Amino acid sequence: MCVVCDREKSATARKWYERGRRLAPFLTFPNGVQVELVFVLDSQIISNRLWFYTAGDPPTTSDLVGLADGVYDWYTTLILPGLSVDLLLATVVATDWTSPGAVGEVTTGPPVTGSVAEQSHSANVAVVVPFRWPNYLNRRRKNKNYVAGIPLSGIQFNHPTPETTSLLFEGYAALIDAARTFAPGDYWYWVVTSMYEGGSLRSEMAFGLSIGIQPGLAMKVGQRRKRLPLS
Amino acid sequence: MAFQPVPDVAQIRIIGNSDQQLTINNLYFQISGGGITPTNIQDIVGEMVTWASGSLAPQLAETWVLTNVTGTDLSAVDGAYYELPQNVPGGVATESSPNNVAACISLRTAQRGRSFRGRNYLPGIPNAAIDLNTLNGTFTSNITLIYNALVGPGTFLPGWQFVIVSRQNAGVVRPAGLAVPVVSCGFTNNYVRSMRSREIGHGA
Repeated sequence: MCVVCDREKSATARKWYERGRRLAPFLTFPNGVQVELVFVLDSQIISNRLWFYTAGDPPTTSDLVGLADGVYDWYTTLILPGLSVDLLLATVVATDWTSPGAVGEVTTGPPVTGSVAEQSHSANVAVVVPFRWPNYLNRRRKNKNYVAGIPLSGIQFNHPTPETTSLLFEGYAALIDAARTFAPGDYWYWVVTSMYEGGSLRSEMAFGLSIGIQPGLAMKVGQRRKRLPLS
Repeated sequence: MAFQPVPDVAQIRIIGNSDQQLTINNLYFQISGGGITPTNIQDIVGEMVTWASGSLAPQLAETWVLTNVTGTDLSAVDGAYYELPQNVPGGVATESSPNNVAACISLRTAQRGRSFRGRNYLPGIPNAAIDLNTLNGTFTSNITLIYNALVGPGTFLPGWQFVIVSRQNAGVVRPAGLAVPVVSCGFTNNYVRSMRSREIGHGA
């Protein structure tokens, strides 16, 4: 049976099955919100996720709208201008992660493309942006975004150019303070999350305040094979 | 895995280097009439050097370098082995796509099923040969022609035939590898594919 659609699995549907098989289980994150930046690159939907937390009252729908709008403004102002025109930011989705039946999710827009009038690298090429929380160095305290739509000139063979590295470092560093300005103001923190402890699912999402990218850390080219069109 | 013989078959490895990362593509050839000897394995390796350096490399970016071609007799554990080190850069003087980007050519036999197909993931694809996720038609046509020059009994080199090797059947290791002639080579679609192990920091 297919764990995604709960139907008998077709013998020829292996690739679709593999793509859905690794869906993570829902893990409660009280006062936590997942923000998903949804892109389209060469007709394929891809996404980057970020997590936010509020120490105040649980978020309302208007708080989620404020967060989605804030992330949209941050991304379109600081990151997207350095990415290829082939990449379309389709929407930003903010989802309350308090429980599966919580406030819900909101989206924002309008769709906007990258600003660099240059062809993008193929969709399986991405620059890895690692961000972390400060207390520990192990992998559980790090999240990553695989940034797609890098213009051809943004990667020199196998390495991001200094311009690309600077764009992403400064852009993601700015999110630390920018998050505090997102509506309703002094409300949202950008956080790093961890679902697993020692290989086991936690009872609740663990998180820490994000301090962004480690200074001096060389960003690298990574890959996202699933972003390619299926054969 | 314990040694598994593949009677009368030579494994040819096209070994290269891209930004200090190793790239390997395996091809298999079966000999007819008398088995593999130290002499005839030198012949097939020599011809494959000519093929790889004269036909394949000119299609690839100059940052990929053909470093070695090896031939191994898979008939017996102590079978013949021969290698010819090379230093032949690709022929396209434009920037290469990153190491994890590959062009996947499918090697087809006259039989159905995954045991009867092979593939090669080609490294060093010039950025100029890729339009976002799509390999351009000139590149895929050239590569298809180059691989199809290997196809046919005795066509590439008298006595040898390009084959794919099946080592398992329904998940069970065969007593001996099965060689099946390749009848055509081509791209199933024009999208680029991935080889993560060739990324900087991965593998050899």
